[in-house]
Amino acid sequence: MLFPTLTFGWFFLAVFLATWSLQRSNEWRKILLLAASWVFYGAWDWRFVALLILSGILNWGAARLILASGDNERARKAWLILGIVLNLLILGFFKYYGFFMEQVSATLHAIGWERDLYIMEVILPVGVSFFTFQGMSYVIDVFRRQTAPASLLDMTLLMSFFPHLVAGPIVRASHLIPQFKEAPRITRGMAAMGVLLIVWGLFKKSVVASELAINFVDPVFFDPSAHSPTDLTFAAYGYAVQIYCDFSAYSDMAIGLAALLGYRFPHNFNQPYRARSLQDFWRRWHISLSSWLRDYLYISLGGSRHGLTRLCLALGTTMLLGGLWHGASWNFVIWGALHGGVLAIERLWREFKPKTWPALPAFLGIIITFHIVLLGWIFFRSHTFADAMAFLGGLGGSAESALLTPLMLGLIVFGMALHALPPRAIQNVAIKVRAMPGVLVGLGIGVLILIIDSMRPEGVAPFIYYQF
Amino acid sequence: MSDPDKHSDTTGEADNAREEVAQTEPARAPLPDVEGLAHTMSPVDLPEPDQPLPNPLAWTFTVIATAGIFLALFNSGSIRSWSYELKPSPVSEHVVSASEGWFNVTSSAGLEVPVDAMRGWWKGVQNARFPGQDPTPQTETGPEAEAPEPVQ
Repeated sequence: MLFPTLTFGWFFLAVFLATWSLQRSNEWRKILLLAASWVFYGAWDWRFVALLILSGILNWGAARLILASGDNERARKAWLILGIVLNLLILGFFKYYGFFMEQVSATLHAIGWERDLYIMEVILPVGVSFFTFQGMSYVIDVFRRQTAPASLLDMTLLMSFFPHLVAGPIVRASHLIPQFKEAPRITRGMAAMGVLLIVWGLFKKSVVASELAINFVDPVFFDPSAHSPTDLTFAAYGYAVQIYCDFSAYSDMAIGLAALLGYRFPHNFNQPYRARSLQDFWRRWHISLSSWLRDYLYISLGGSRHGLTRLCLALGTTMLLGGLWHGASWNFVIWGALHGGVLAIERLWREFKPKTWPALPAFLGIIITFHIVLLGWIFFRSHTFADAMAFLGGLGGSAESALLTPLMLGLIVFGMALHALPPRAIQNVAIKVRAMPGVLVGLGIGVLILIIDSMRPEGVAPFIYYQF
Repeated sequence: MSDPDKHSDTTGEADNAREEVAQTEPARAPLPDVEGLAHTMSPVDLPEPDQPLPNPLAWTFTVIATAGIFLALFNSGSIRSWSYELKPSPVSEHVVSASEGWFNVTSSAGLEVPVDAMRGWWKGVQNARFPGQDPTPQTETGPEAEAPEPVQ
């Protein structure tokens, strides 16, 4: 069930009406939301609803055992490790089993052991990376005594809540559980922001990202050798715009849908391509994942507490694992290594840059950072390392473009220009909208959705981050 | 809830973690938003209005209902297309028949004209080419582009 579909529209309308009609009982409201979330998830594959429930119970149980251990630090740590290991086993099995077995098979062949291994076909449950990370953060936060323990209902709802279930934002227990504990309330500002974010996300996904993907980026990345350097160059920029509009659209819609149900999700994107450094980029791109990696991985690896060498190693390892989080592929490893490497270089530069040297002008920082990110996206998007190298090898020089139409160019420029808008543009619109009569706002929203629907291509491609 | 004393026993550990975050990220990103909106917990947190805005839930219902009715009137073609994608069953037969009936009512009243005009204009934008460019470029799309789920 994809957000920009009528099926989801009917589903959400039913959930919206049912939940607000249960205002008197917050517990029943949460039970209804939980059941709705399982229906939403079961629309892909009912079998994995059991996995979702199991994962919720597992993390709730691990947190309870940590609490039950009282001040016995050894026992607390043992339960924490068990909880993390079980989470990683779930993630590892579904996400990396196939890759691992292929590598084992290739290695055995290389050393002359020619028998074919039986490799089971494992279906990747949608959103497994997101809900596993969410569960792990809860267990770790309880261990660190940074969050209060949640009831089983709240914990399973935290992990299953349908707006963020399959592609984030990764909402921490400390952010959402307190909201679950109280009956939600909605303000006209929340509702105005909610509908605006949904419509804005619908536009970015259905028009900008889909149009670019279908008519430009996918054909070029499918066979880079068949396309001119101009097409390759613009396809790289096109993919940067596509992935931003696709992923941020999901986050916007998730935040908007949650707001209409009375819940507040955190920021997940903040004009990432106007970042002046890669460190700045990671404060603006997929903020919930980058802060997760920082708080639970980077700091656990030593962070900045043990000198510069250890810090650089921690940065590199964190980004490498961040790359692998996206999937078992050497291209994701390269993507992570590139980001980790440049983050380490930036850190070293800050440490050792002579004080008399002037700081890099802001515009130059933005251009350099964006192009490092762009290089990473080529590996991220390409199916294989060879494809990425073919793509990079084809860049440079000029030739006529076969695929770059005025519309494609316009969409790329539009996607980049979004980063020059005032950061609070939508909030400013919402402040005006919330004071308008509801009928007028409804008509405006109806007109905007009508325009978007008449512009979007037939059908709806899944969001890019559904595969992670 | 856990024992608050246990929390206070280990606040030092939590503080250390927070301190570590602060040390790791010594300077916040230079956000251009100086009034603080980008630093709020959620994008839906707006400043309080000068005058309280009444009946938020009723207002939200009105917005959604009006938009829904507007779209049902002016975009019934999408409802019909959606109904065609349903798995065949006795229920879906009724849905298809109802959506076709509704589409006939709205289109005979001319309510599909705006969306058709918009689609025609957008088609023109899609088909526009730079001077000298092949009007119908070949697009070998590959698996991603073939994948879109055919739903409305």
